[in-house]
Amino acid sequence: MLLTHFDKTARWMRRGGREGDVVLSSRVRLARNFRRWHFPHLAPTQDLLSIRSRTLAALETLAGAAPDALLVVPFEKFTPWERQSLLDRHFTSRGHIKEELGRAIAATGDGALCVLINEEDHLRLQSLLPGLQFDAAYAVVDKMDDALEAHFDTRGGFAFEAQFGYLTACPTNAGTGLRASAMLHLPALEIVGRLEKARQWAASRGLDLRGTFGEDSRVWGHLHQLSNRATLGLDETEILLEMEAATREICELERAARAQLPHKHALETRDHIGRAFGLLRHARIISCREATDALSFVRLGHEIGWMKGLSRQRFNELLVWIRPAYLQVLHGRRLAGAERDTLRANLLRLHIARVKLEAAFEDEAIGNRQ
Amino acid sequence: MVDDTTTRHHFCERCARDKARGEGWPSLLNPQWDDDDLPDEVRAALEAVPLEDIIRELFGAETAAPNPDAFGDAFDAPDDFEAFDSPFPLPAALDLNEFLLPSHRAEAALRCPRCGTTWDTLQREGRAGCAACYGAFRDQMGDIMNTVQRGEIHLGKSPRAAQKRARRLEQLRKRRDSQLEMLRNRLQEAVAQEKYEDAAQLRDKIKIVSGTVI
Repeated sequence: MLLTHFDKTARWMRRGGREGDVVLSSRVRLARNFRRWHFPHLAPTQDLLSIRSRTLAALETLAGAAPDALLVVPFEKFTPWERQSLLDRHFTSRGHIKEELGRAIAATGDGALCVLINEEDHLRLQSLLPGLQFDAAYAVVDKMDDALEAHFDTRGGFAFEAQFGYLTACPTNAGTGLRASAMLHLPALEIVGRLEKARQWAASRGLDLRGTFGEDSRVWGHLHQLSNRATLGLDETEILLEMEAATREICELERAARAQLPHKHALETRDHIGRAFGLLRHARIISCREATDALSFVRLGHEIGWMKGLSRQRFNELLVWIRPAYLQVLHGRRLAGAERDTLRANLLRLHIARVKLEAAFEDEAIGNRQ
Repeated sequence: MVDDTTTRHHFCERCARDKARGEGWPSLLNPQWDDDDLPDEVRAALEAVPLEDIIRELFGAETAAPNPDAFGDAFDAPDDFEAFDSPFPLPAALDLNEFLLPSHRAEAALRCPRCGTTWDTLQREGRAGCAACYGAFRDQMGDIMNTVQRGEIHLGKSPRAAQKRARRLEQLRKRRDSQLEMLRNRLQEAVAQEKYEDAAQLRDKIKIVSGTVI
């Protein structure tokens, strides 16, 4: 397992940004293509390789536009497991790691800037920052976009036209090529049964509330991605402002639901959180899905003041460290499924040992017994 | 002569029956036509009727069997023979597209000249093949954008180079317009002062400058 280039704690897992009680991270990405080549799904291999080498050469000369040194991962040199570990930390997409020939990412060690090469589009510039801070994330990718565009202007240039803006493989990305998404932790909305309502509300605003790993993915540990649907017909600032406003509103919905939990849904919530705590505290073999859902409830326990001991950063770290692929990176070797489940349980026990139940949680339990 | 004619009748009838039975039109000519099922008197009656009449009744009055004595006419009107291949005349407005695979239909001819992606494929897979697809399918793309996006006109960032080019063009246009204005003023002066040679020169210059498309 070679893929230890990147920081164990990516930038998005650290403290920072706003609305940290609900928003784990903000992501902004720009889709860009070169005028002279077919889009990646139609481009012949030699073109894909040419696109990659030219981009990497450009990134080398444009190092100043990146917030930090860029580390390059050409996909052919890494195993599918190692590539999967990039997905585990949300550095790239599922479609990207499935292919290897001519594909690559170039990212800063902390993932604050990732350049995805030959994903669905030739280039995707992505910034992943903690909490709610679309503005800062956009500033990172915008700076790199300007630098790349100036570099390639005399070398064929980006595919751009006045009517449809930046041209992308999928017309749903054309125009600004900008997709902003926020990773939201919404356990309370799920417990009180208002998640579907939130999803409909988002849809009515032209936004999508989707699974943890984006399009068509399932929800892990009550983590949802809110993202903009339209990329054409409005400018970048509008998209970011709409997304920011919508994210804040969903945060308010989640907070309102959390405030209800100790009253209307006390028994159910205590049960969820207590079980999750017991599981993580004592399990010896645990699957990733089970652990992620349990971590989610323990995080909720911390947020509503029933537990203490773990920081938000530690939760974010654990979320990624227990992923099947990342666990192997962490241990630096190939692990079989059963061994992973054991090592995952060990890792979790180590950290959960610090968690203490607060009086608010215990009192009620005693009250019920009387 | 009579024998000859009879022979020809038989031959053709058999052809018609074979076609009816063996070549996949079982429903068109019903089983009564089978020799075994026909009562003797009907068969006799059928044989008495000239083939031309049967055909005329079956395929419509306007379709007559070719006159064997007038080869020239028959060759001039070869369409008549098609009546033998098809029991029903083809409807005038037959839409051949309905029988073709979607990828072979006429509308699929809408194809990006650069990467060969058809509008059909683009819609089915939701992906364009290259930057030129957007130009090739501009109208259709515009319609789609109006439904899935907030509009069909880009309002956001443009590449700085494109901005630079747009600004430069604007400058050039302004310069051309002011030059034109100056030339026109001088032309007016020249005409007023009756300097026709200068005026002719100025007129030619104006032609050149105003013809510059920027």
